[in-house]
Amino acid sequence: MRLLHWTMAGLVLTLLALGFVMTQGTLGGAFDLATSFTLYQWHKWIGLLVLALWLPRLVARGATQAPAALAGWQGRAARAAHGGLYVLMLAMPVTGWLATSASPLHLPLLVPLPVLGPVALPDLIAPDARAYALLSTAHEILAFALIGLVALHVAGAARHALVNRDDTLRRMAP
Amino acid sequence: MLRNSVVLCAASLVALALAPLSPAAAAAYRVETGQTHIDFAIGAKGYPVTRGEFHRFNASVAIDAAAPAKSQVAFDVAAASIDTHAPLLDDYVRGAGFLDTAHHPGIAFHSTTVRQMNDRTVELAGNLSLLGVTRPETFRVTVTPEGTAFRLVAQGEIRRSDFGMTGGLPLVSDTVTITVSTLALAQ
Ligand code: HEM
Repeated sequence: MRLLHWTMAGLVLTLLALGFVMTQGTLGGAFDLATSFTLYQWHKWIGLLVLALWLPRLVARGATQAPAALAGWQGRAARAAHGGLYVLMLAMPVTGWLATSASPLHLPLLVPLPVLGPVALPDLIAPDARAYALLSTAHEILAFALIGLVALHVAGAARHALVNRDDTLRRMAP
Repeated sequence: MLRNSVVLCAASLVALALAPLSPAAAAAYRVETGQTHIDFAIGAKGYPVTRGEFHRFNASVAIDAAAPAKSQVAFDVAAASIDTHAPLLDDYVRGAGFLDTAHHPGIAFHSTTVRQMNDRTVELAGNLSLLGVTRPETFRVTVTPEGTAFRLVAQGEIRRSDFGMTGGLPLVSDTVTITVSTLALAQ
């Protein structure tokens, strides 16, 4: 659970950073096509890795005894934030994959699997400029929601450690 | 013995007599591989120009300096040897939307006519084969003598959609500028 938690935390933060950095290229010409392409590629692969880890993550969560929830609004906020994080960790890769499928560029989504070699993932929907605009906007808005929840989550963890002085954070120490 | 010499003599005479009628073919030159570059440049919306080159090829060049129109050029290029300095992008471009190298391993250009524009420039017309489609295309070639050798720089533009290459359109532009520079050495 801890390993999964910190792996996914690292992956998601990388994805957020990569996502915002790579999309700058098309605006100000910050990157050449090759660099931008490479960044997008890595973004998609890491994002799909998060997708692949999502179910094991949920199973691990179910199998772990979570610390007793705080009473009152703090407990409700924590439950909502955790639920939101799980939803977004699924919704982000799914909207990303959908947006990639809908892209008018219609490039195949190749994933370099170990041993098996590159595998082309199927398009979830047909290419369509409007669907792409919609889905990439959804992906972006969800990314901001994710940042908000991560901030809340970190604040909550910090409060446990610094204000409440309980061992909630220590449980997750790597 | 004597008979053989007579036959040889006669053959030489015939050859001499025919010479003015069938002008000597353009001389074959050796293409200096290390000084040959098959480059391309392509635009994409919002990005600076993307450049790349093909590394593996076979080329033959025959030049007749006195009668440039008799010169001939042929290039056979291995499509999979594409290099944009980004391996991930190369893999993509080798794929189905672009070069489809699994089905079309070769790109070829064989000249048909050479027209002299001025003393340094010729217009090279020929057939370009790409993705199984063969079309006439022209290149403008600047010719610079270097001793007995010639430095040739050919440049032309093609529309990749003419050959059925539609990957990345319209973000990645249809027009591709091709520049081939080579050093042709007299043999
Ligand atoms: C947890 C997983 C993911 C996170 C946190 C994430 C995050 C981001 C962020 C922050 C952006 C920049 C948003 C913007 O400014 O437009 C972005 C863009 C993008 N992401 Fe993801 N992403 C994830 C998964 C994926 C996956 C799995 C794919 C594809 C298979 C994908 C494809 C894209 C694409 C194509 C864009 C560019 C959209 C555009 O052109 O505006 N993402 N992502």
